[in-house]
Amino acid sequence: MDLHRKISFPRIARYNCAIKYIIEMGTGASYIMQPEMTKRTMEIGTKYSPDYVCTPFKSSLGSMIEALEAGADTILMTNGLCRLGYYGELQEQILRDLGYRFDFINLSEYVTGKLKDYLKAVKRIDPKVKLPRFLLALKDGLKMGEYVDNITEEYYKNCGFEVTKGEYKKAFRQFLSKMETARSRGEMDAGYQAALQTMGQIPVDKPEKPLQVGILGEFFTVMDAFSNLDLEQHLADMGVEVHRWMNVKNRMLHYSGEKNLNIKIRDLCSYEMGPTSTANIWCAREYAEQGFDGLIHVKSAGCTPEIDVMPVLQNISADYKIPVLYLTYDSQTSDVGLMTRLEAFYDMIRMRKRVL
Amino acid sequence: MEHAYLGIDVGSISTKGVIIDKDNRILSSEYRWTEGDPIGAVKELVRSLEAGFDKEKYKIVATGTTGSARKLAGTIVGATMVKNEITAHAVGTTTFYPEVRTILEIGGQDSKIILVENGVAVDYAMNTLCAAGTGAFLSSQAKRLGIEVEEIGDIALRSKHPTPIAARCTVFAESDLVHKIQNGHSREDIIAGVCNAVVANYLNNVGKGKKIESPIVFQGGVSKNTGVVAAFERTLGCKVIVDENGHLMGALGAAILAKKSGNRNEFDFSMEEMEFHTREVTCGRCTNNCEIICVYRNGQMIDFWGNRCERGANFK
Amino acid sequence: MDKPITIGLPRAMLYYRYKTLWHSFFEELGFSVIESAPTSKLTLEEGAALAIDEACLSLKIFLGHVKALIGKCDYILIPRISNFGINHEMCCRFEALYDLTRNVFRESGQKFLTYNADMIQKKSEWAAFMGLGQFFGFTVKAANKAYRTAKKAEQRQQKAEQKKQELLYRSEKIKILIAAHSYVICDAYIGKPVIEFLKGSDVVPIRADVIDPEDGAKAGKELSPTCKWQINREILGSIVQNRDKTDGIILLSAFPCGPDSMVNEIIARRVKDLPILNLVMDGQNGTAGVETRLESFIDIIRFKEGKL
Repeated sequence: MDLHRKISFPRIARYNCAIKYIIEMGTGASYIMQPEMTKRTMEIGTKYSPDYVCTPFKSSLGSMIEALEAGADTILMTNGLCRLGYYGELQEQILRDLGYRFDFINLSEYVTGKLKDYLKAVKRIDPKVKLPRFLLALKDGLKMGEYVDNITEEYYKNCGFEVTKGEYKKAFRQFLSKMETARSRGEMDAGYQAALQTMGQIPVDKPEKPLQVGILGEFFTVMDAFSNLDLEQHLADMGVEVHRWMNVKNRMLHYSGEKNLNIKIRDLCSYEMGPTSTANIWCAREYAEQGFDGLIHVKSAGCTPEIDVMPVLQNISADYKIPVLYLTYDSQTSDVGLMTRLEAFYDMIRMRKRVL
Repeated sequence: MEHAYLGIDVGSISTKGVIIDKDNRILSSEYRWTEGDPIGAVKELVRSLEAGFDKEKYKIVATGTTGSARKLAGTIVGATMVKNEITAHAVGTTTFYPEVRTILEIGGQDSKIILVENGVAVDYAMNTLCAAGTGAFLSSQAKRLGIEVEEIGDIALRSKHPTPIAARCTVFAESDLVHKIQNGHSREDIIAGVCNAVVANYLNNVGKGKKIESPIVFQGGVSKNTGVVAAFERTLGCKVIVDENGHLMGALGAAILAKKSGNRNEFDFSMEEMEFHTREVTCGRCTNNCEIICVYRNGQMIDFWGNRCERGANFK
Repeated sequence: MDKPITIGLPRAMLYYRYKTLWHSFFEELGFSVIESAPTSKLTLEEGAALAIDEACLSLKIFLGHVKALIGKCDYILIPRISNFGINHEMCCRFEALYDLTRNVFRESGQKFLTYNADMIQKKSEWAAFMGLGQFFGFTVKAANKAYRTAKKAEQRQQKAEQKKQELLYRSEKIKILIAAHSYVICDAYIGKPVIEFLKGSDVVPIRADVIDPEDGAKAGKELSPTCKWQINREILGSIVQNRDKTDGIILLSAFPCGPDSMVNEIIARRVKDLPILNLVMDGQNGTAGVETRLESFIDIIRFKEGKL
């Protein structure tokens, strides 16, 4: 009997290469990379999901089905601080009711308050796992996540100003494909350095004071280009310097903590209002104080914590006279409505900048 | 010959067109139903605009399109400027009302609010998920009550006690409406209630968190409805301006933007006689299955769009 | 003597869980406590005008209640209740409630009072109440005494409610378990009409939320092992303990409740032995539609049991 697992995880932004690295370099299992999410992913996910659950539930369910179709025999699912923490159990139930046969490793089952209990989940992935090897792969895999974030930041800040169309995208693609195939820390470091160097040499024609827009909002939708209908790319293409603080690196790996951020926004909120609320409020004020031209708040339909942040953002918008565009994404995959709102937002901030 | 500028606004319900001179004076204007055929509507529109326009004196040197079918319309008329309807409305309105602070707009499927300071739009919002509180909502309720949309205003103004109607979404509103009818509420009161519901919904959705300041201009198809105007004035407690050319503001904005942009391309009225059609093709090169729209003029493909990735970029 | 300080309690959300504790604690310390009136159409309309459109019905109702108290009391109490430990959590909305309300009413000049219960961060309810006492200049001893008294009153009330409920199960009539948050089931505008309609149809409605919190949460694990929301775990526990004694379940939720959107789906997929009605209230359903659905649900049960 083949005990060798074929593991997959739902698609999330550009991080699946790092998850793959951790699984394959840290355990004896192999990783199945399902196709990137498409309209079909959303359609099948929506079809089998309850009506008013938040949208990432639907897309990740669709992505799980595509992983099973691609040959995975084990689905790994994360825990989370909002409804995300309950995704796994319901998704597993839905997939079982549909008749799929697979093993499901749900990190929510291992939440006890002690990090080391997650190791039990690792043991399930591979009972013969060597702990030092796994921890090293974990550390390097997280580093890869950080590299992905650094390059993504660099990309969206500059790609709208390149002199020759397509150069940034080419460099970005090359980098991502190197990350997907990297089998050692050395390979990933080399890929990262090469990308930094290539991007640094691409000629850009950026005005002294370009239009700057800060993107914030719900953790998944704000990072995942498929889910936000390529919001950042569209903005960059209009000639905007796009900033997004919210990513795995800033929110998870180098998070300075609720307390440190909350100090700067105490007049607006006393407590942590939700998993990413403190960060988003702090970030919105930070962008406003730096004189950004506008903010875009991104969330999926029904995202409780982000709905609750909106009254605070409205106050920041009033205090600093900075326009905020609120975007809600449901399971529709047409970007017609998005483009109308985005073009108008762009026209508005550009005309304001000229007058002010 | 003097220069003139053409603006066309193709919405889901109606198609509007206007030709202006260099001082933004209207030389010719036209308004007609889109009826699900934007190409036909634009051709008819251009024909009527031509009839009321002095071709000996003026020539159209730039054309702007706006509205939800702005891209398609832009392709078939050879537009020099294609602009989204929010910007077009803001530009059109501030040209004629430089003092305006708030623009309320309710159209067939969309509703929006634009806040203006010193003649520049500083904030705006558009309806998020549902079409409640738009023209479509109003006409579906009118249909249910067996009256014409045009009659709504006069009937609503006769009501003394508007019936409260649930308006969060069309489905709920309809069942509530039926219930109220069965319960014996008068038609005037129910219709006035529907008008109130449109306003309440608008303010709760797009108007949420926005400081609505005077002067207020109300436009879009629904602004022709005196019942809704009255409901706005009642709720906001101040006067609401409705321009007789309010429905043309998007087209005017598009014409003004085309004039300002500096791109020039003389408009050719012969497009009325050409044959245009579109074809929807599924790309099929990945599971996105993008629906690519191809536009043909006299059998020749002149443009296409709709692809989400490069795989469809070389589509032929 | 000075006029006593007045504390206002919005009659919504966690009011139904904590009303005895709050009343008793503040009255014990000599405060005067007022409440907003039961939810009416006006409460909902005013709340809906203040809330973000996409927020849940319960939040809209809550903001309506807060508005009704503005200017009528010295402080409005809105605690921040995050969790009672790992996997004993609250919906994020309760973490945000105080700050979000404060931001919505920023221009009103109203003072709000809060306390923070967050066991994961080692902030206990006891410590929070000591903080409240201290804020008003009471010694820990005095605050502790008031808290102990209030806690006893709370337990008495809970026990009495549970006992009353036990009796309901002995009824010969059709019994329907209502699985809902207490602030939905007890709300005059949302849950009450449902309860009254059932009673008027010769059915005994039984509240799933009336259960010992600890027992309930423990039993709930059986039906859904990773459900982390305390209130939903109690409701799940109630279903586990009572499904044999009831004839049907109504899942009553306020549109679009985050936890319910998922937990109710789990219930519908895992409880196969009882008829289930999923009733989502959006505050505008109009009574006619709801009554029709309730009536046909009761008919289904009666038909199944051969009583129709």
